[in-house]
Formats: sequence, structure tokens, C-alpha cells
Amino acid sequence: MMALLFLGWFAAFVLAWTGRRIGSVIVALVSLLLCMAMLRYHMSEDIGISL
Amino acid sequence: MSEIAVKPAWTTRSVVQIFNGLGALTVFGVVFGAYGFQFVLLEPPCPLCLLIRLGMIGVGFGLALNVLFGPRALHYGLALLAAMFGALASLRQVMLHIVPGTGSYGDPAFGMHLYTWAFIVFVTITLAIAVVLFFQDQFDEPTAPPPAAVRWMAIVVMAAGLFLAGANTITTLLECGVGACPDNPTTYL
Repeated sequence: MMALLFLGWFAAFVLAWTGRRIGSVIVALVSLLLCMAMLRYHMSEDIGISL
Repeated sequence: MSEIAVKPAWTTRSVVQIFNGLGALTVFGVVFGAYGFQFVLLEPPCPLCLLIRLGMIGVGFGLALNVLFGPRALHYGLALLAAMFGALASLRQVMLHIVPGTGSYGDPAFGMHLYTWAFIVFVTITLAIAVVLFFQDQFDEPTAPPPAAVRWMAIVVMAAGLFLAGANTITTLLECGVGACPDNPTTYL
């Protein structure tokens, strides 16, 4: 799952470099939102996944 | 009547673009440094460390857009959101280890752990963006093409960002697979 988040940023860079500015910003914002969701997952009370 | 060729000129806009590029290269340099810890010191990154890297790449992306397309409020907003996310992730890891006797993750660098340095970098980037936003002229429409240095800076930061995002996709896939990352990784799949 974490690799997909990096892939999202990779896609944003590709879109930006090919001139699709707004598309890249949308992909970046979605990636950032998913990053927040992943951070929330790793802020669990279960210390096993909180490191 | 012949047209007068407009020569590239240094303006507030182009100077700010160079500063944005230097900021992007700084955060990308931190991620390159983390790769050094990962492959030279053989310390696989923990899930929070990977989230901090994502925050760094996000900040670098927002700043890289300013270099590539010119400064816009949207790009700064994106970089600030990514900086807030990264600061939250790194502060979470600092808080996990703040109580004496709870240990730490990884070896320190220059006296502090990487997640502590990351928090300092995110706060510094936020302050730097606040200062750069003082210069309203950067948002004016360009009257001359940017100097070659700006175009080269755009190529360098975009290439660095693309490489880091792509390389981290592969190494993270090797470490975590498609599921959740292990909390204390010691090996690759």
C-alpha cells in the first residue's frame, strides 16, 4: 500500500513534466489525502503498527 | 516593422524560482540521505519513516511546480499542506520515543535522529515559504523569458523528484509488498 503512495507522487511528477499542471496538482492532492489516511492507520493504539 | 527580441531577464519571479528550486533540492537531498542510511548503514525504513519521505517528496513537488510553471499560490499551498503532513508524521515518531527508556529507531546523525531532523526541516521549509510569500512581484505575468538557469533548475528538480518517487516505489514494494509495512523491518521480501 505504501508503494502505491510513492507511485501517486511519481504520476504527479510525470503529469507536471508533460505540461498537465492542474492534473498533476489533483493527483498530488489525492496522494496527500491517502498519505493522511495511512498516517492515521499508523497512529493506531496498537503499538505494533505505530512505529 | 521588425519585432524586437525580448532577452531573458532576472526578475523577482526568476529569483524566487531559483530559491524554490534550491528548497526542492534540499528536501530531495534529505531523502537521498535517507537512502544512504537504508543501503549504506543497512537500516530499512519504518512505516513512519516512509511517510516522512512522502511528506518530503510532496514539499519538493510543490516547490518544483513553482520552478517549472512559475510561482502560483496553488503550488505554495500544496507545499505547505505536504509540510504540515510531514511535520505531523515526524512529530508522531518523536513523541513515540520521547519518554526516557522507550528507545529510538535507527542511528542518530549529527546528534539527533532522522525523524527529529525531519521535523526541523519541515518547520524550516514552512517558515521559508512564509518569507518568500512576502514578495508579491513574483506573481506578476512575466514580461521576458526566464534565464537559462531557471530552465536548467526546472530540469534538475523534476528529474530528481521523478527519480526519488520512482526509486522509492520500487524499494518500498520490495520492503513491504502490497500489504501494510512491518512495524520494525529488518529485511526485504
